[in-house]
Amino acid sequence: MGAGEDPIGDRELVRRTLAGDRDAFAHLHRRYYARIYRLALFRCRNVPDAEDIASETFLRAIAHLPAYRFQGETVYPWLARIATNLAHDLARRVGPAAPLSLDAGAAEDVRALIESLRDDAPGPHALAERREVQEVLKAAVAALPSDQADAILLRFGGDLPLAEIAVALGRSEGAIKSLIHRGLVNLRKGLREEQVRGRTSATASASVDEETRAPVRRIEL
Amino acid sequence: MDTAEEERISPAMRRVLDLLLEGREVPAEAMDSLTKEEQADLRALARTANLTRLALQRPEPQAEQARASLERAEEALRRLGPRAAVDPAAVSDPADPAPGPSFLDRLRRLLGVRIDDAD
Repeated sequence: MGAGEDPIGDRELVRRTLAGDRDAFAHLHRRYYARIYRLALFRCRNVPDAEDIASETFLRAIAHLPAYRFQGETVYPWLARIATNLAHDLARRVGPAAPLSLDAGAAEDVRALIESLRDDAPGPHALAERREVQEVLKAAVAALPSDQADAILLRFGGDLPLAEIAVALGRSEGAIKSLIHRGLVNLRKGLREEQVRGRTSATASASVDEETRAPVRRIEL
Repeated sequence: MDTAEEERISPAMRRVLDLLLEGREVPAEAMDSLTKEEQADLRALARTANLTRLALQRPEPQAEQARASLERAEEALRRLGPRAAVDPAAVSDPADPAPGPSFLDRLRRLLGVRIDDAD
């Protein structure tokens, strides 16, 4: 989770790290390593490369820490930018990662994915554990326009509040809201188009229609 | 969704979306002001968001790799030792700014007046 749930903020941890406190840096590393690793994995789709990029991200951050200027309250957007640049560098050297495709998951997985959207309990957690389902969702994110994908990644992968995403992407909070909203609408549209193309069953189409008639329960964006 | 499509969002729907994206509580009357179709759209968005969050927050990295990364980082920190921020204000809490020199200090500096410890 973000720094908001931890009593020690990133600013203080960066200040202590610069003063030579290695525990403070370890705290930052624990806070962000998994998120940076997942971001790298999303970008390069290769576990060893993602591990290398995540590790190198923290080394680069250490090297440039004295010149770092906080713009928001967390260092995550900065770390994410370093990791993204490293992934781009890698793609330039060895060629781009194989494109994520919505075909990556079996039709049955996509069907299950869409069916899970009908009900928020308890299916989605179990479903999201499945690698094929993760691939389908990530492929759908990768297919978004890049500004929408960045906003979705920072919001749902990085758990950043709007203000931090706005700083990271150099946009207003209003623009970020719009990007996230459009991103979610497009994600859903992308998944439904899979049905139209016949990669999922007619049952899935019926489920999505049925979903629109179910009562609203807990809602969180 | 294109811009034109976004412009078709009703003010009531816009208000609820804004509250949700800001992580704020949506009053019941705001929810009730949505049409059935808008409530269905909202639910679909929420479930897409839920599954996207769950999918993007996996997989967990290998603990061994995380440990190795931390060790490399700590070794780099040890080599570098304590350092000063290029701009200390850039890492300090803006809500708690370091006190600047007093008017008297600035005046002394301007006039080149040296203050001895014994003063």
